[in-house]
Amino acid sequence: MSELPSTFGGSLPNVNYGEMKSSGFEFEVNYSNNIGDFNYYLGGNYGYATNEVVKISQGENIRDYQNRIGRSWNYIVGYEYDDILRTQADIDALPAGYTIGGQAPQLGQLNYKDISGVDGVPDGKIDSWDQKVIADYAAPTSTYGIRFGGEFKGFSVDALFQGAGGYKKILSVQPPYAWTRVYGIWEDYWSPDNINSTMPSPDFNMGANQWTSTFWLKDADYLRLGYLNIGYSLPKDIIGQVGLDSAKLFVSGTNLFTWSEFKEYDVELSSAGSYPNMKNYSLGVNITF
Amino acid sequence: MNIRNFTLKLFILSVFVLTSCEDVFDKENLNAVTPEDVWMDEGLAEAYVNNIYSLFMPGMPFSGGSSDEAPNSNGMTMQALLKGTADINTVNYWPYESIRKVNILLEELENSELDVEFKNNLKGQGLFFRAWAYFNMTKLYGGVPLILRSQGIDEEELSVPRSNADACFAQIVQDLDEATSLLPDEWIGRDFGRIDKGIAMAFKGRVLLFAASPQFNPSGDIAKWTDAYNANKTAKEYLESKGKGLFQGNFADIWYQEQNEEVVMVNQYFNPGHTHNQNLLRPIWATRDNVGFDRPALNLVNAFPMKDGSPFDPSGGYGEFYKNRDDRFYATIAYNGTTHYNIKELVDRESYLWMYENETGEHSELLLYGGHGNDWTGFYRLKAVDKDIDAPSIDQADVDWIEIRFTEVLMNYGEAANEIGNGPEALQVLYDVRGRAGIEAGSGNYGITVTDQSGIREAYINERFVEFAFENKRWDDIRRWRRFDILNDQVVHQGLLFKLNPGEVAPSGLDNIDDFWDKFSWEIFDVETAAGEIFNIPDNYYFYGIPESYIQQDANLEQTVGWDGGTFDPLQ
Repeated sequence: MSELPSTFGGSLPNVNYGEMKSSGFEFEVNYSNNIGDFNYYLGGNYGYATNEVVKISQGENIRDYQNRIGRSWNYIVGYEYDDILRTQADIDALPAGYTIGGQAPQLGQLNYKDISGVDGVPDGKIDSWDQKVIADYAAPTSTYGIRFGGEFKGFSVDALFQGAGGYKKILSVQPPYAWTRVYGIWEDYWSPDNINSTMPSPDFNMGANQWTSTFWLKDADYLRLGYLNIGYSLPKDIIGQVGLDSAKLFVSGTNLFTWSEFKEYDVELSSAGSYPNMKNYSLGVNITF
Repeated sequence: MNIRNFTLKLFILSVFVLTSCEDVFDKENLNAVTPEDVWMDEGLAEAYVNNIYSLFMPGMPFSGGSSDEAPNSNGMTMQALLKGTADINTVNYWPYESIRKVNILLEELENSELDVEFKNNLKGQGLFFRAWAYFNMTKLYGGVPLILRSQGIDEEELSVPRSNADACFAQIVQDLDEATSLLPDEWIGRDFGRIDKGIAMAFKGRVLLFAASPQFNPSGDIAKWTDAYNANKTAKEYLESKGKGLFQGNFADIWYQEQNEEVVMVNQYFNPGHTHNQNLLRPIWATRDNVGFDRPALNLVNAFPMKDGSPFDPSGGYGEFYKNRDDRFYATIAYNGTTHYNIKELVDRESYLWMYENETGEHSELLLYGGHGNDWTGFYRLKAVDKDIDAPSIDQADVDWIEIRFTEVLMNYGEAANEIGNGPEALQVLYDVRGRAGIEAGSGNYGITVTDQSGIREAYINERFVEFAFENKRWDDIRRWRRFDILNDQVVHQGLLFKLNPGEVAPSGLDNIDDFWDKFSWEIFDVETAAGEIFNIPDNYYFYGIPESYIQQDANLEQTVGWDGGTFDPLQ
């Protein structure tokens, strides 16, 4: 329990102490009908869920962004990105003695907003006092799915879309260095010859570039075409002649397409290095005797 | 009487007793030891104390990168404390869980009915380690809350404010004095290495030397130096009466000849059972899993005196820099062509250590041993290297770590002597230390030409740098003397690169460096070259900040002055 002074030195037995309030709703609709020979169906579901920490063991002396009470279980704390320090003029414009993570600012470095300091006011130093809550939810608050399909004279289509929204993620792509793979996003990196780059300098001495910040924060909402199947059942009078009960040709695929602001790697992965979701294509024939 | 009949009766009787008096389900757990049992059994009580050793006993250090002894292990960046980018979370040594265990020991021994002498020995060891913990915190933060009993969870007020430096030192000394009165003169046999009287006295000398030094005594209060002098002199004389003294063999063998007369406080490693990993120290071609620590910086290499006691003069160049240095140089620094770096990999290859660039810019380590890239300075550490192990067995080093050796007690005593105006005693210590290092007496001063107080003070600074290189002392000393300027003035760590002159034959194998030294040119280079990677240590680092989480858990715990608006001044 972190309310005890650290000098106490003992550990306490585990108790069921924390409290969290979770709330949300879900609904689902399905509809099916036909127009002559055209049979079709349409369905969708939507779920919304949030949570809020009501009681948790935490220090009595913490900063606002560290206070978990009243916030969701997963929220993101970080720095507010300002701009890349593109030219010497950008650096010269900073207050005298300005530091980022204790070091003098360098060309090509990400700069952050100086929102506070030890005394509660901006102090010309970018350090942990300049962090804040940069995203309320790091896990989806909304999840949804859409299914539809139809069948007409032996031709059939089935499709499933699914997605999630209402949350943000930190894009985790280390700058390139020896022996590691390079992420494509780093192609447009800052250098004296490319001062209008989208990315900062990849110099790994600039550890502050990798701090959790709004620079790396992306909307993680997505919609995915999760499943699509197109089929054609051969007419009975044809297959009957070769002694079959039914035969259906189909092509299908999973994880076919994703719409998202988050493009660098699969938005559902925890990091760029995770094992990816596979895209599958199948071509097949169903035959029954 | 029929035995079987008797047994049966006894069985019936015992069943009766059990069922009548005790709940059958309320059995003692034979797989566990109850707290009460520990203090009724010598074996268990001793095991409790042995655990305290495991919590506090220091091991082989690899801390050169925390000062000017060596660059950081990646060979590119400075440590945060050195380049001035530390924050309150950088230094985190807060062993209150372990201190609570010592406090429980001390309280339980009061009520235990074990043999008095046995109890006294355990109590003395417990008190020593409580002093150990508080000293090691005090030297970092300047002063910390003194928790001297195991607090109960239901107590009203658990928060204890920080005590200032003087109060912490007073408590540490009180514990050490009591420990000294309780501990045995020596431990023998399987108990060798436990804390004894001599260790407690020697450690008190170290504690009072810190208390008297500028970090804690900026006004130079002579009374504090006198306390330090007396404590170290008493410890020195006591240890001498027990047969301790300067090891008179080869300096390098202080670490290889176990339990020699130099050894005061030691962590004894042995294989199998209690080994440590030396992978950090080795070249990449003779190690695995980690690499790059304690590569001696040129400034340290320069600091070793010549055989005749005079300082090494870098202005004469580095061609013959390895010739005619003192014994400590050859025991501490592995350099291009050294015959002393006889680790197993080189013995098997029948080769000395070759570290140079050939005509085409290829490095000899790559060509001869198959790997290069982690000798950031052109040197490897040699002191206390376990030479018998190779890369596969690199984690089985069993060279003992001597935390306090007699030379430290002697030099603590000598340094304090100088500060109370007793120059001749201080000089005699330097002569003895240098004489043991194989330096020639010359006209009797072993190359020490200074005789005034400030000159002797500077001589001690250099002598400790050399004598205790890679013994985890340099950074503490720099802080104790309030001499960050010594590091800041150096700007960065430097290294030395030898290049084979065009047209010369490259030495290898067991070639003699004496036949080749003039075939090389050399260049001095900066190890750290990136922006901001320089020695830039601000004055508030003489006392560190308390990590954020501890402050957050206790609103009454004051932050140190100079850190995040802190208000606690250890010297007030």
